[in-house]
Amino acid sequence: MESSFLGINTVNFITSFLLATAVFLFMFMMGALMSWSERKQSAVLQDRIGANRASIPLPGGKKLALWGFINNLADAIKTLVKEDFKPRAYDFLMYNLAIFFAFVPATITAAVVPFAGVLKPAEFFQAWYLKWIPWLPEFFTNNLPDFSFRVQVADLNVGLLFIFAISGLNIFGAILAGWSSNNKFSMMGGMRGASQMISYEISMGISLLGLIFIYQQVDIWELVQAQRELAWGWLPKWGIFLQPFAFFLFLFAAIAENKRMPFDLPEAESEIISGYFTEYSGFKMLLFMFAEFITIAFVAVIVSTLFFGGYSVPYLMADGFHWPWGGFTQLSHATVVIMEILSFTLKVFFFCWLLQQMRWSLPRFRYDQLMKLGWKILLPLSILNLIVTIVIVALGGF
Amino acid sequence: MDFNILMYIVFGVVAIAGGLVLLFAKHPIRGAMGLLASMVALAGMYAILQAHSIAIFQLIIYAGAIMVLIIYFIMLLDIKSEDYLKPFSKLFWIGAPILALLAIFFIYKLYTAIGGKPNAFSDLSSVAAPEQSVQDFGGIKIFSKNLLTKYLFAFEYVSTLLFAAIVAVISIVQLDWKGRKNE
Repeated sequence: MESSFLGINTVNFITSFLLATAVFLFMFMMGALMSWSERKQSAVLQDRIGANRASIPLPGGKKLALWGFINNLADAIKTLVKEDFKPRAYDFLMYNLAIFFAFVPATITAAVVPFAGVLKPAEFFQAWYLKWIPWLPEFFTNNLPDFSFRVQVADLNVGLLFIFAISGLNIFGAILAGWSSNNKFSMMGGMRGASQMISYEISMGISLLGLIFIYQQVDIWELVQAQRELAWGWLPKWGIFLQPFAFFLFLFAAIAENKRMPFDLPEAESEIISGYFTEYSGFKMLLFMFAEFITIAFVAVIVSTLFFGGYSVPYLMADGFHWPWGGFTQLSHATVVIMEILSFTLKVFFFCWLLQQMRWSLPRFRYDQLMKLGWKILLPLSILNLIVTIVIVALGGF
Repeated sequence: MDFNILMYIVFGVVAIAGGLVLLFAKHPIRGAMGLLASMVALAGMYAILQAHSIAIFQLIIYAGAIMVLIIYFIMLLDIKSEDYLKPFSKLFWIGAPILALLAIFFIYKLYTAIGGKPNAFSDLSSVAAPEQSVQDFGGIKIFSKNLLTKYLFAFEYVSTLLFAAIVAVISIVQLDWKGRKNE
C-alpha cells in the first residue's frame, strides 16, 4: 500500500467509525420515523388528521409543522423536562438497569446487516455527480487506489446467530422493569412479556433454519450474496421465493416477539395500563417506546435482508444491469452502490409500513389464544417447514 | 498493550466479579444479575479467542434462555421467606475442603502452564487459535462438525454431570427441610 500521511489502518478505522455511526443513525431515524408514522398512519386509518399542532413559527406568520414531524421534537423536549417520577418502594438498581436491557440490544443488532455491497472509494468518487467534492476523490485515487470495504459494520461469520443472541437479551428489559417497579400491573406486564418472548423466540429461530439449510450459511453477508444469484436465469434466489412459508411464520413470530399489535399483551393499555413500563416516566418511558420502535424497524431490516435479498436489486451486478433477456446497461460504481442503499432503504420502509398497517388493522389476541398460536400452530408449522425443506434439499432440490 | 488482551482482562475481571456477586449478594435477583454479567463476560472472552460460535451459543443458551428461566423463577418465589437468606447449607464443611483442593489444583496447573514465562499474561498465542485457520476456526461449520464427532462423548458426559448436580441440589434442599421439621 502506498505510504501517505493517512495510513491504511487510520483510513480503516475512520471508515469503520463512520459506518457504525451511519448505521446507528439510520436505526435512530427509523425509530423517529416510526413514532411519526405510528401517529399519522393510525390517523389516516381512523379518518382523523393526526398530530399537526406542534410547529415552529416562521417569519411572515407562517408555521412550520412538517406534517407532524415537529411533534416528535416537542415530545423529546417534553419528556426531557418532565418530572422523573419513581414508585415509592422500588429496586433502584434493577429499575434503571432495565432501560439499558431494553434499549442497547435494539440499537446494536443492525451492526451485522449489510446496507450495500462492496464500496471502492477511489472509483466511487469518480462519478460525475460526486466529482465536485473537494480533496476526497484525489486523495483516494492517489493514495489508496485499491482500498475497498463492505458497507456493513461487523462482518461476523455467525451474524444471524448474533442477532438472535443479542435480541434475546431484550427479554431482561421487560422482566426487570416489571419486577423492580413494585407494581402489580408492571409485574403482570413483565410476566406476560417474558413468557411471550420466550415462546415466540423458538418458532422464530426454527422458521429460519430452513433458510440456513438452503443457503448453508449463517453469515449474513454470504446470505445476501447467495440471494443475488438467479434461478433459471431470471428469478432472483430471494428467501421469499425459496421459503415462502417460512417468511410468514417468521413475520408473525417476529411481530409477537417484539410485543406489537395484535400481540401487545405485555402492554395492553385497556387491561394493565402500560404493562412493564407503567412506573416509568419522562425520558425513561420515551426510551422504552423508542426501543420498541427501533426493534420494529429492525424486524423490517431483517425481513428484507433474509427474505427479500437485502440490498440487492434484481439483475444488478457490480458493473450494471445484466437483463435476463441478454441486454446490458452499464452503470458507474457510485450509481450501483447508491441504488443498493436505496433499494435496501425502500424495502425497510415497505415493511415498516406493513407492520404499522397490521398494528392498526387487527384486534388484540386473548392471552390463551396467543399461547396457543405460538406453541400449537406456529411451532409445529415451522418444524414441518424445516422437515419439508430438509427432504427437498436432500433429494437434490434447490 | 494490545486492545484484545486489554479487553480479555476486562472481561475476565467482570466474569470473576459477577461470580462473586452471585455468591455474596443478599437478594436473589442481584445474584442472578451477577451470574448474567459473568456469562456475558465469558462470551466476550470466547469471542476474543476467535471462538465466535461458542460465544454466540453462550449468549443464546445461557444468557438468553437459562438466565431468563432463573429470573422468572426468582420473580415467582416468595423471596421474603428466610430460607433463601441462609447463606450456607450444613454440607458447607464437606464442600469447602473439596473446593480448596480444586483451587489448589487449578492454581498449580496455572503455575506450571505459565510459570517462568515472563510474557505469559500478554502473550495469548498459546490459547488463541492458530493463525492460518482463524477465519474458519470459530465458524459454525467447524464448530458443528467437532461438536457432533470429536466432542460428542464429552458433550453428553457433561450433561450427565448436570443431572448429577440437579440430584445433589434436590437432596441438599430436602436435607434442610427434614432438619427443619425435626427442630
